[in-house]
Parts: sequence; C-alpha cells; structure tokens
Amino acid sequence: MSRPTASRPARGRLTARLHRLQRQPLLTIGLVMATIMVATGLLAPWLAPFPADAISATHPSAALLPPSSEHWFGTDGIGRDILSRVLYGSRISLAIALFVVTVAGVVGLTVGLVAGYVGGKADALLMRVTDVFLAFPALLLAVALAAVLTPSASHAAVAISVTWWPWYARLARAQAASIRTQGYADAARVIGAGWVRQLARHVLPNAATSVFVQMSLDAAGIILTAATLSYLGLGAQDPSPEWGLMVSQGQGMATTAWWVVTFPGLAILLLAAAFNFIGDGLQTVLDPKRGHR
Amino acid sequence: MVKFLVGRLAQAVAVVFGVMVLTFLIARLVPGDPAIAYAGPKATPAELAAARRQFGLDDPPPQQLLRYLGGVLRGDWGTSLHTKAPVLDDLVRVVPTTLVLVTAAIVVAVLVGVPLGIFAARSQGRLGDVVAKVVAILSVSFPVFWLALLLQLLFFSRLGWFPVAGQYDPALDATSPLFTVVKVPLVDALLTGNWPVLLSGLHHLALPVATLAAYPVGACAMVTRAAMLDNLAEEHVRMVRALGFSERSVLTRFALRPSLSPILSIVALVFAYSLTNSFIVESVFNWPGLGSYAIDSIQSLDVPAILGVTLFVALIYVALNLLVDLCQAYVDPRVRS
Repeated sequence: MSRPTASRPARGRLTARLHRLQRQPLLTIGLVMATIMVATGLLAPWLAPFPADAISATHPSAALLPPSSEHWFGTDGIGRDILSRVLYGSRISLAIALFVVTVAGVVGLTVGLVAGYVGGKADALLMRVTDVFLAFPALLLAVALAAVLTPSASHAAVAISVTWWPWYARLARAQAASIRTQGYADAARVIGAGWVRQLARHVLPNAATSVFVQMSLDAAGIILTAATLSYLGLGAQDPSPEWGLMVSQGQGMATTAWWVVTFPGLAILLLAAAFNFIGDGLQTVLDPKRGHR
Repeated sequence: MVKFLVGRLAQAVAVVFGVMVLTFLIARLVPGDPAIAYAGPKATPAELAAARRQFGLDDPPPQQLLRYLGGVLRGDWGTSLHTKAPVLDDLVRVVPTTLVLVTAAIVVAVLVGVPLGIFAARSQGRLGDVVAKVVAILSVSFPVFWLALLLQLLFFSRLGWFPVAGQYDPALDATSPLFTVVKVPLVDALLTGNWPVLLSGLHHLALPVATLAAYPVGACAMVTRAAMLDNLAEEHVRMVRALGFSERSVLTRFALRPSLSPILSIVALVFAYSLTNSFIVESVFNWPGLGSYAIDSIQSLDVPAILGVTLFVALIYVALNLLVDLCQAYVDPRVRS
C-alpha cells in the first residue's frame, strides 16, 4: 500500500519508478516472456532444427510424427517440423504488430493532436470520423476489409491498421486538449511559434507517453486479431508459418494429432499474454495516480 | 435531460450515417468488376452491360451512395450471392440463435468476472490479487479459435463429457418432438415445457458458451477490480469504515454500487465484441447463427452478405453504446452536463 512519498526526498523520480517496477512481478514476467519470444524469433535461422520447413520444404513420409527428441513439437500433416515453424512464426506476428502500432500510431497521433490542439471545426469533423470507425468492433471491420482485399499477411496488417488508429486519435486528442490550456503552450503561442512547431515541440512529447502505454497494451489485441484473420483464411497463406494459419490447417487432424494445433496456439497465447502483462504493469508504473494498482 | 437526450440521439444518427458510408466504401474496394459477380464469369459483354445498368454501376459514385443509403433505410440490404435470399431476411433468420449464445456468455461473464474482480480488489497486493489478475489476463489472451478447439479435444474427444456440435440431440425429435415458436430450440423448449430438449440444449450450449465467455470474464474482472480500487481509495469509504460499517457493507454499498457504471460500459462493449467472436465459435461448434452465416459469406466471397453482417453488428454496437450512455445519464446527473 505504501507509495514512495515526500518522506523519502533522496529518491529521484526514476528511482521511485524503478522501485515500483520491482514490485510488479507480472510486468517482469511479461518482459521476460516477450524478450524470449522476440529473441527466438530473431534467432530462428540458428535455433530452428529444420529451418527449411518454415519456408517451403515438405516431407510427406514424416507426416504427423508425435513429439520426440528429433521433433520436439512433432510434425504436421505434410511432415514439416512444428518447432521450426513456431519459431519462425513469431517473426510474422511481431512484424504485423509493429507495422500496425506504427501506422495506426502515426495516423492516430496526427489526427488526435491536430483535433485536440487546433480545436473548433477541425476537431468536430475529425472526431465524428473517428466515432464512425469506433462504431465497428475491431475484428469485424478487419474481417470485412480483409475479406474484400485479396488475402495476404500484409493486407491483414493494413486492415487491422485501419481499425486501430481511432483509439490513438481519441487518446492523443484528450491529451492535446489538456496541454493546450497549460502555461507553456500559451508561452509558445505568445512568442509566435507556428502550429507545426507548437505541436512537434510542445504537444507531441507530452502526449506520447500515454499513447506508448496504449501501444504495448494493444500489441496483444493486434496479435490475436492477426492470428484470427489468418485462421479464417483472410491473412497469411500457405506455406507461411503463421500461427493462426497453422492451427487452421491442423484443425482437421486435431483428434488424432493434438500437437499440430496445440503448439502454434500456445505460442499465440503466450505472446499475447506477455504483452498484456507488460501493458498492465506499465500502466501501474507510469501512471502515478493509479500507482496503487 | 431532454437536451442531453436529443444531443446524444443526433450524435448516434450521425454515426449510423457514417457507418453506412463506410460499408459502402468497403464494398467499392472489392477488386474486379462487381457486374461479373452478379452476371457470372461467362457473361457476354451485352449481359455485363445489362447487369451494370440494372445495378446502376455506371452512375456517378455519389448517386450510387444515395441509392445504397435509401435501400438500407427501406430494408433492402441487397441479395446474398450465396443463399440467393435478401440479406436482411437471412439476418433476421440467423440472429436469434446467436443472441441466445452471446447472452448466455455475457451472463456467465458477469456471474464469474465481477466476483473475481471484487475478490482481487479485496485482496489487493496479496497473493489472491495476483492470482486473480493472472487468471483475468490469461482469459483475455486466449485466441478464441484455439480455445474452442482445445475444449473440443479435451471435453469431447478425450473425456466425452460434452457434445461437440449442434443445438440439441436430434434423437430427441422422436421421443419429445419440439414445437417451434421462435425457431430457437432452446427458447422453444423452455416456452413449451419440453424438458428433455431443454436439458440437451443446455448441455450443447456448455462448450460454445465457455469459449465465448473467456474474454468477457477477464475484461469484466479487470474493470471491476480497477473501479472497486478507485472507489475504495475515496474519502467516503474511509469515512464509513471509521464509522464502523461492516466490511461487507463497505464493499457492496460504498465500493461496488458506484462501480456499476464502468461495469455496465464494459458489459455493453464485450457484448458487441462477443457478437464478432461468435463468428469463430459458431463455425467451430457448428452453431447455425449469425457467425456461421458470416463465415459462409466470407468463404464464398459473398460481398452483400459480408457487408450486411458488418452493418448489422455495427448498428447493434451503436445502439448499445447509446443505451449505456442513456442509462448512465439517468443514474448519474454529472454525465448529463
């Protein structure tokens, strides 16, 4: 319950934050899990026992082998090593998540900052457009968009980006609107700084923190949405080692070969959980008002 | 209150208009010539031109948009390429079955998630809180399609405890024939007092509902916990504690009751979210509702049906948000200003 307070003046803000970080076991677990999964994805070419299986190799004679010392996660319906494919698969999920938070983040921040800081008619118009996008559940709009585009991992990423930017826009707008009333914003206006300079130098740095926290919280949702699109056949296509696609391909043989669907699905769960742990922990550490959580 | 009501309604109408424009724009993204989709791949140029005239594809886009909006408002949501029936008729047919599924999942979510959140808030900072938080975070991290498969593998293939597909045991049709009232077996069984079918229906409902409820359980638990902690930190709670109110009364009367507003919001949000998740759950469990219809239309690239489903779910979403806002304004005067 006790929070770092004024009674410990020797502690700087950073130390106080580190202190809080220490007491967030879930944040630590999430960071460790995410680091391991990012590292194994980057090092997949060296770690994977059968790297060719993640690309185009097939071995029909070795189909549906159960987990063994040679194939830790077993093999799939056309004899590909599932461990190798799962290791490579994290690259796809992480790349999509990175693409979506970057594109949606840049678009959302721009729209939100302009709306919140400029205000007036621009604000009203931009926020009504945002409302329309927010009227669709993210997965639904992504499904509709991905369905009318030709299915591929990059189109899935674009479809998810289209559904994600309004959240950042709304968040950034609230921040910008409150910054607008601060003294330093007035000062910048008085000395004659232009809109672009005001936004870039004074509003963006102050609004970005909350958007960054939101991004790490969102990574989990993006990874789940991307996997769902692939599972539905609207994302990555064969022979891509995308996890959702692997589950979908193994679905028909799941009763006789449980490992075909279990390991790729577990990988999705662990990566999504890792980002959710991080997001939850970051919220607690960075938001002093909510520090008690 | 009236002013708030009118303003909020106007906002909802504007959003609905925007939603329709957006679905129209998505329809225009479809690669290739929509006339080919209507007239078939072997159509002659003359037939294509006729189809284009019939659907007004040569008109300027704003005129097409107006015609689309007019059609939607009159109840003409286009014709499904797959079922050959009007999309709106299809939707009216499939939606009740899905509502049973989603409503059951939301009820489970509230009954499990809210107590879990209260428990976490009560044991804040202790082991119980961490465990509850881990459970909540894991349950929002499950890929729905994978959870559905796992439950099927475990409870159907391995243990044989629960049936895997359908709405009730068709063998019961011989012994306890079901009279249809609303064409949803579970509701019909309840209305006509057909207990064997009702029991079988609930048995069939268990796995799909468990899958669909996972995300809402976690979301409700996290929101409840956060709201409870906010309220427990308020002055008035310290006050009533000092006055010697029982812990139970502090929790329910002074912490839970003011938390109901955020809980209501998250329930509405996860309801809409579950409608979309029903796409996956229904297709895995062979449940003949909106979700299966959506998946069929996605797989056959049935654009009018896909857009019909999109528009329908978005409209429900807007309506739910409006309802929640109005409820909150009714309960909490601060919202109205």
